[in-house]
Amino acid sequence: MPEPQDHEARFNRLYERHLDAVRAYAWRRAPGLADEIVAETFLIAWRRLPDVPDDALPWLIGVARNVRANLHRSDRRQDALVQRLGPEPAAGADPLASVDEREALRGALAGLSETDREVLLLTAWDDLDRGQVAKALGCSRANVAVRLFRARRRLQAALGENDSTHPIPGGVSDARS
Amino acid sequence: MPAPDVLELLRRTDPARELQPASADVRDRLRQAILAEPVPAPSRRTPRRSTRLVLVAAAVALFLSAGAWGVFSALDSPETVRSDFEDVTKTIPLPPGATWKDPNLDENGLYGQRAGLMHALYQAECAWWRYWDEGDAAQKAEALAGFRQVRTLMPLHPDGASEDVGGYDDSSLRFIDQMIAEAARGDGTNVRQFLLANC
Repeated sequence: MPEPQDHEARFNRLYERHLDAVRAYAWRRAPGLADEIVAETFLIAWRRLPDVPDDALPWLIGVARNVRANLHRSDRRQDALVQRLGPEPAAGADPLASVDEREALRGALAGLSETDREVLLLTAWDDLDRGQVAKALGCSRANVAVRLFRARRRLQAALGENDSTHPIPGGVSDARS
Repeated sequence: MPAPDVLELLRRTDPARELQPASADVRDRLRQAILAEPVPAPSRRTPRRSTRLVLVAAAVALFLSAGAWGVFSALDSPETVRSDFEDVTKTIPLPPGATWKDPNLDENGLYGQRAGLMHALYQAECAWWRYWDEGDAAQKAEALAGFRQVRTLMPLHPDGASEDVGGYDDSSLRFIDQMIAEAARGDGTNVRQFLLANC
């Protein structure tokens, strides 16, 4: 069994390295619960530190995801995920993310299953690769690949860009292990 | 003009894009509060296969009663996944010339049930679609027959079940069936996109 100081040192490294990523994950999905999700997630990590793998972020995201689900179940606060598609950009700052595109994205995201949506957002927002998404969701990489492929096509279709003669841009560069 | 990458579009609408890092004071206060909490005595969770069923039931009960504490209790070790992978690859057909690759597991990771099977099916999907894409009419017919065999081995993930259960959800299977039907008609658009994006 590690010495208490080793346990604390490892936790401190984990905390400093991943706090902002876990906080961003929570804030993106449920800003009103973000503080609670972050605190509970790292408390669980502290108590279960021997179980935390070296690639800790997917593990932490998986815990945060379940903490969030439990908090929602307990007080039925509205999950603001689909409503939170970023602040309105300043004029000229981001011309590609137009209001129409954001509305289309919002509708398309709402039409996906919860897991498909999470696969997509863990990839796009939380910058996890497919292996990490699989670990965070506790499913296989194959399942992630199918879900991601399908969700991207649906979003693309919703944006009116579903020209099947075009390969999905980013498909190769996104194929991380 | 090429279609915009939806992932890139999502990144541009990331609500946390302008989120500032937590201040040093906030970080430290939370850290100190956590460190003040006691650490429970360690216990071994890795179950032997013979006792897994009982422990899975216990883990489900724990999850229901204590939320996130039970998150990873019903998952498999890399050793179990690798062993399952080796078993199932003996029964899953591959096209001529294709070989199984190591599932590239994280030795510290925990995996959902049937992860070995899912890894093997994923490799088989890629191998058969690649064989289809590269072949003439006869090879395409052979590839479709092979893929259909693989398709019969794809387990359904029951609607509403935990992700830990593994398998393909119904809409994934329908999408795969759609790809098979398209490929049978000679339309390889989705096959090629699948290969490009996933294999």
